[in-house]
Amino acid sequence: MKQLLSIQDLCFAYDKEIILDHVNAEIMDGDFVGVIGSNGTGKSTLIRLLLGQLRPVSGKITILGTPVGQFREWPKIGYVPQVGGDAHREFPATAKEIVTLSEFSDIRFMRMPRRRHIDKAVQALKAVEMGDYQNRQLSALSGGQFQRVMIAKALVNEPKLLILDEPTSGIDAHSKKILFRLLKNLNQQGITILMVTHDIKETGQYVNRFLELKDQTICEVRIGEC
Amino acid sequence: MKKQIIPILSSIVAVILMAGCGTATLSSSADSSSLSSQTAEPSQSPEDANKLNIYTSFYPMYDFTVKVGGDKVNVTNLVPAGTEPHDWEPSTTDLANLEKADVLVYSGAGMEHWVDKVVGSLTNKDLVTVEASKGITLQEGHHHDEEETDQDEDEHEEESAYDPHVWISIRNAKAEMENIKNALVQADPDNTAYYEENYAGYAKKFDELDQKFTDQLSALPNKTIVVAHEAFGYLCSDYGLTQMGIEGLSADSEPDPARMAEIIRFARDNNVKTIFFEELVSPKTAEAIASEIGVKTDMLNPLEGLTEEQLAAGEDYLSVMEKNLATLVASLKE
Amino acid sequence: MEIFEFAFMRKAFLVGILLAVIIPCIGVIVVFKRLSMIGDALSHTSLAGVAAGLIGNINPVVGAMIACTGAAFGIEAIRKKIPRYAEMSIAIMMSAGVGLAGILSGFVPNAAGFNSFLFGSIVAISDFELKLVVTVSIIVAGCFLLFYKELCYIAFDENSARLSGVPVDLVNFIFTLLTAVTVSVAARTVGALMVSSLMVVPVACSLQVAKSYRQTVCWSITFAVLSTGVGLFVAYYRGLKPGGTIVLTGVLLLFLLFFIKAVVKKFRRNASKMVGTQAT
Repeated sequence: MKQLLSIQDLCFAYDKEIILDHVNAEIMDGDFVGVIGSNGTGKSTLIRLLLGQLRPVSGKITILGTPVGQFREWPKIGYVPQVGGDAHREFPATAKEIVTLSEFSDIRFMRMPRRRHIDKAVQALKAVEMGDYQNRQLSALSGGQFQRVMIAKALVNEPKLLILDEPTSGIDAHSKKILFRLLKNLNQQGITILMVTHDIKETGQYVNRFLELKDQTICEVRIGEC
Repeated sequence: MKKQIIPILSSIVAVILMAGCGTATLSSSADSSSLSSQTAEPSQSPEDANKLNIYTSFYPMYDFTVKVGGDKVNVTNLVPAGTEPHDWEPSTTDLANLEKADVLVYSGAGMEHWVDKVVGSLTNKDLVTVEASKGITLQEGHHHDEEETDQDEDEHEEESAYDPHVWISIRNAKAEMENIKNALVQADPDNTAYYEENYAGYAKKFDELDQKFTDQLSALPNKTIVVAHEAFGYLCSDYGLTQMGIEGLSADSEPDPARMAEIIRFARDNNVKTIFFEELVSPKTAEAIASEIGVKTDMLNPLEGLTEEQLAAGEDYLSVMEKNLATLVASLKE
Repeated sequence: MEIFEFAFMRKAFLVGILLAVIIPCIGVIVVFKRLSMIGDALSHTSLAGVAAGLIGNINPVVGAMIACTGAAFGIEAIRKKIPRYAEMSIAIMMSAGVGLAGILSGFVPNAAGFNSFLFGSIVAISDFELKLVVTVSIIVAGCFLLFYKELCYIAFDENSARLSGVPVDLVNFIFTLLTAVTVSVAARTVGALMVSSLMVVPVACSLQVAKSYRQTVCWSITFAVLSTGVGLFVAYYRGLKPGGTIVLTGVLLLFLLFFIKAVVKKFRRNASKMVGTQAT
């Protein structure tokens, strides 16, 4: 089984405050991993380190066999940020327009998207059961629908690894179920998923293991404690 | 809360104290200067330091005062060279100087909107103020539409109802100079003969220039001029010309599109061959109008101020008016 | 038509419409980057440049451009330091600019020249200004098309855009430059006090009717052109100052759209109510 993501002896601190202290973890091909931990334990920081947005104080992160610092094939990593983060909830673009944006590296700098890019975007939307909403503006979508569009946006480049940061926060129970089922489907189709979440109970039935962030370190959890 | 009140209160008190001290020093120096001018009554020997300190509001006042006062007076002009006087306001430095001055010469008729306020706020009670335009018959500043409604008239009454550009008429300029001469004689009677002689000399020159204007302008076929702002009313009355100002009585902003169209039509209908602009105001609008009709632009100086270059070249009211005459003749003879 | 017989009005329409095309392009991005007040800050700072130009005898439009560019980059720099409070960076820069403009205006020889930058001077456009506007319009429009999707992505989610490979710093730099240049040129014609409204109001109008990002851009341009055209017409035939007339036309248009939307909503609700009662 292929190792998609490897975290070795990772240390990170904001000024004097140590967030991560010699953290080790491994994500294998086909995993569906939930990352849990109370607030402030560094879950989002970990994600940002994995995405190369922050540089570790020491330690190594390897993505798809390449050290993070040298990794260039970011379209292979799909990222769905937290709701209420930087993304504009009220942006006037349609679902199709937003998903197409994600194909940037294929469309290339200063070029216009072609027919095939738009078709791919529509396909991605269909995969998350949002095909009928392709021409709906983001502001006209519910929380759950918005998140599915964000997932489609992450999926459009056919990533090997999907990283989601609290995908169900602020979403009603019904939409949550739809989202989790969708993710499980994608996982079964071969996409490795790393999901930061608060919901141990609900996600327990979908993930194959948990990683808990506690006391500046990670440990594996099988629905119990550390 | 207490901790914050004390520094706030003390800074407020400090500022008030400083302001109080400041006024005290100003008034004491004013007193001392009026004292010195009293002791320097020309019954003793007049010295440099005992000359009258005269401040004039803007250029023509400065020029007339210098012509009459000669080297018996210290004259300083308030509006700096190259600055448009209509919206000019005196600074704190100017006010400080006026506290120490003997005479303030201003034109009046609404030209210096700041005069009443400033004079009222000074502690210098010995300051002699001279309204040079006193006694001159004022014209109304009027709109250019022939169909002037009563409402327009009323609106004008509320602002300055009169055209303040009195000095542009040579005859008025002479009268202003006379008022200034009378004030100087009153303030400094020992030099009466000197002032009278200066005045007489220039009065003659002004009369000669007036005659020249009358002779040359009356012979011309065209009597209409388009100018940057309505500064030439009195000159037009003297010589039978008609002025159309792109802007109104004060050159403060640009005309709206309807006004532009109106001016253009007027210029076309009256066979205007030159659009006049001024030294101190941007010629953009004049140029736009001129290029619309296909005529040229030229400079007609309303003598509201001279530039540094003109002052350095020794220009004065008379020389500038001579140039204006030549410009008018060149334009109106076509 | 009488209004178009005059060369100065034809120029005014040309310049007005060109600006009405490029200003909303900047406006759409600026509104979603939460920098709606940037038009105000830049145009007020441009006055400092104008004053400096009038004093130092440089072309005041060039002075305005330099001041605007400085301010735009200043805002970008401050925004990077305090990204959560982007609006504060604008207020800070605006204070600096307005303060400087205030002091410098005391030394400006001619008040009228300065005033014409406050309220604009669309009736007396010189050949230089016309060429400037045409050039700037071509550049801004061209860049907006070239960076169409990049700008959209950055306005939507800058971090995501970076992750997807968009050269965010480069595009932001170019956009900042374009904003500065557009504002300084527009301030000359419609006036510094009006530029900000031209950036934001047409975008607000378009958000009422647009159904996609592309439509948002197109409608913003449409509403801006409409306000400008109608505004110039009204200013000519009623003898009003063009800058203010254009902006007020835009605002009235916005209120009209609000009203229409409310009416349509109510109509639809009543219609569905009727259908509901008929069904039962």
